[in-house]
Amino acid sequence: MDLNKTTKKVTLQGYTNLYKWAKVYNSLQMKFFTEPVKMRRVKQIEDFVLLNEFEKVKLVIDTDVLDNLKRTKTCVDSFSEADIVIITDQKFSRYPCPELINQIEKILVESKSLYLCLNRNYINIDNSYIDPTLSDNFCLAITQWLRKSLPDYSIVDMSLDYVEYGDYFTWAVPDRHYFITKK
Amino acid sequence: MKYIEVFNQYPMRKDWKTMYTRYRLGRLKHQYWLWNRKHKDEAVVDHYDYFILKNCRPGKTLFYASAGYYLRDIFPEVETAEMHSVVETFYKDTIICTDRSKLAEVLPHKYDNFAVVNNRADHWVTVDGLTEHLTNYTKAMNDGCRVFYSFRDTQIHVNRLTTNMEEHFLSWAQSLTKIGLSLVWYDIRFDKKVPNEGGEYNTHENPDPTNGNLKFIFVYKGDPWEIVT
Repeated sequence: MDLNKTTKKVTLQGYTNLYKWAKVYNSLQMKFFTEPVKMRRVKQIEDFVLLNEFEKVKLVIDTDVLDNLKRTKTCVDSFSEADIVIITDQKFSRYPCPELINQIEKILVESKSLYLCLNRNYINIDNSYIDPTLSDNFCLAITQWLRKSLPDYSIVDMSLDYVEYGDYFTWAVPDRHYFITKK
Repeated sequence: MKYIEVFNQYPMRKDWKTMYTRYRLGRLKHQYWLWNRKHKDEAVVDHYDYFILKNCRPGKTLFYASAGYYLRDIFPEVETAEMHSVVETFYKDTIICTDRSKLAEVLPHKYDNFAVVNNRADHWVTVDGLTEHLTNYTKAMNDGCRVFYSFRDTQIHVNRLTTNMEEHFLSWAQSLTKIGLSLVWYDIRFDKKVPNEGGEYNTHENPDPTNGNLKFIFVYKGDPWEIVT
């Protein structure tokens, strides 16, 4: 192809972030529906906090979710003040595996309990961790890896076991849900 | 209020604005078209798209489901086909084909260069699913066709904890000789995470989420060439 044929002055664009909707991703998607809907995953987290009587909540989020908690609970700034830390921020899933474990331990030094949402699609993002002893079921393998890496902690998997086809709102609230406390 | 777990659980709006917004969310390169249409004499071209164009051979060139219409405005030789009918509403000169298995029937001819750049609709399959997509694409290729195919590792089904993903994807690409595609070039990039001076790790995506961090160039029933960088 003769690229000189164009009549336009071409400027090459290197990598640039073309994604503009991260902060409003949840509400944007909810507007696609013909009637009011709310993500079940959000309801699950809100009800978990309500029904287990957590009062002081530290939220680590990256988009417009969990508004109900912001209204009804005391949102604190530090991990140490919190009865429970809730993480839905996608970035947390993008730590290398060993560092993700370090981060969980760091939080649980300061706080008693952690509700952690991990995006399965980002786990082991740098391809630096391989453990062939884990299950062939990737969802289960994530739980096994957490339990193996955090033997002094109780880890309750509250996720659904399903195949991801990109239609589960995972980029608003990640799909793997864990309640983690010290044993 | 209804509680929803899966996208297709409740009816979605069919108005233009909703369809366009949904398209925009998944087609980041549409932004280039939006920028370029404001400038008559200048244009921005993505570095990877330009790399593809530099490596095209003489003949017909198709960008499928890759917002190739922004390139057609600059390089009229580029032909463009899309999967979403909403594209026709703002860009008439495109072919719409949602069903890959019908693509060869819908297109006006076979191609000598065929590019699919991080097509979101190709995702959420195993590598066997990607092979199936490419098998359909090959039906629209002339022998010797240069094939540019890229995607993101994070949107392909693979057990990320038990698999060496670099080996997995490379091995898949090399296996495509069975459908007539010989690997000519590849660029597989996983972010190498190292802590900074404060001991903190970055939480970036893998490189180039727009074009995909896994890029492959094949030739369909033909000879390799010296890649132009």
